[in-house]
Amino acid sequence: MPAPRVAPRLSAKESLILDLLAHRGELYGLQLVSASRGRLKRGTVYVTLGRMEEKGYVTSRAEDAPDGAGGLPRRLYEVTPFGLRVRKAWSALLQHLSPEPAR
Amino acid sequence: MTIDHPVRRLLARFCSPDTMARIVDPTLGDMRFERGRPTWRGYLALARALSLHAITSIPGAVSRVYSDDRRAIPRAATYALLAALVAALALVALPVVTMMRRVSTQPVSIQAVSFEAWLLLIPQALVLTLPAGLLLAFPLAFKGRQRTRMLTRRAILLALVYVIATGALMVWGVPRANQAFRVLLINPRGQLAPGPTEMGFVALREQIDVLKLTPGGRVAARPLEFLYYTKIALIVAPLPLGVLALGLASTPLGRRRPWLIGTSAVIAYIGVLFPLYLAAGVLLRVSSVPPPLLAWLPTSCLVLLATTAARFSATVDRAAAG
Repeated sequence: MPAPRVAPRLSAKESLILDLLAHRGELYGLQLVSASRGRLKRGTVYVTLGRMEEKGYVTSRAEDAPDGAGGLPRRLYEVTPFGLRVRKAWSALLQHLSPEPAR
Repeated sequence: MTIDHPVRRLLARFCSPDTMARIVDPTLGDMRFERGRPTWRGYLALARALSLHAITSIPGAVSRVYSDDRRAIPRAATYALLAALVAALALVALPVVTMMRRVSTQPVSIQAVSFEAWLLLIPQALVLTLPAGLLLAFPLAFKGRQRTRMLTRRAILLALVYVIATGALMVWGVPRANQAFRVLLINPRGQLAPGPTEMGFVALREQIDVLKLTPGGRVAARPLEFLYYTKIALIVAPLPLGVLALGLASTPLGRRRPWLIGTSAVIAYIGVLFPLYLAAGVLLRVSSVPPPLLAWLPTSCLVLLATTAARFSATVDRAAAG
């Protein structure tokens, strides 16, 4: 018997990050923090992004450094097609499960 | 914030390349673009991110330690525990046999008391045999395994776990068991004030400090001080013993006959430890050598041996890798 496949899950933070990346395109950690208006924290954003990268929801790359510029580059994050599908499915599921308004 | 920044260099020594790429570098990279914000806030964010990452990584790390290297680490932990129990039973066997001979003709109630007394001796024996168990466990568990740096690190981590276990036993187990043993044998129906061996670390330290304030108290405090530091030295013993065991596992005999070298090492350790402490005790009485120095003497010898073993082990590992 084949092993049962585990359905992807999205935490509130992961869902928020996917929303932000889907709407605004490539962003780095601090931009995500400021765009979330306090819902994401600097101390946790990269841990969440790392977990999402492991799950395949986002990809990352080091930003291109300008010529002659030294120092550590920032890391830019982008949502993957799989991440977009999970986001869409998750929103549909939440909508489906939300209680109907009383008549 | 460059790749050569001291903070980054320091973290690179402890963190995996994956953690550096996902947590450390992006956070440090962001700090370069935060003009006008205090730098300490960036470091605080980094500390929080690393703490959170460490906590969320624990289940995965435990699972890897359990399953990697054909379960060498859980095997080593189990072997060490079994070896410690067997050695502890062997250590208390002699007093038990003596006790049983004496009480065999006595009423059943006295025989039951003797059995309880025997059980109460086990924690004291375990303090010695728990660290010694590593000497047999590592050669047995690592037989035929490729010795990587990761496996060595995990073995040392296991030795640290044994330091904590020995410490817990020394702090909570031994004083209570010793006191119960004394009460059972000397005064089963009454109260008995705990002796120095039955005191915890805090009570013993207080006793030493109080004694030192009295006239002539410094001399009287010497045995107590010796006992205090001996307890600490025995707690940290698993660490040098673990390193020594890794060295033994690397020897040609350790690879061919781990049982033989491990069992011999356990017997030699326990056999040498007692005369060393006896010699230290004699020196304590006849000389003015500071008690901490004497108490640490056996463990210091062990550290010297372990250092030699670690060098040998590193040479063998390098040769195997090359």
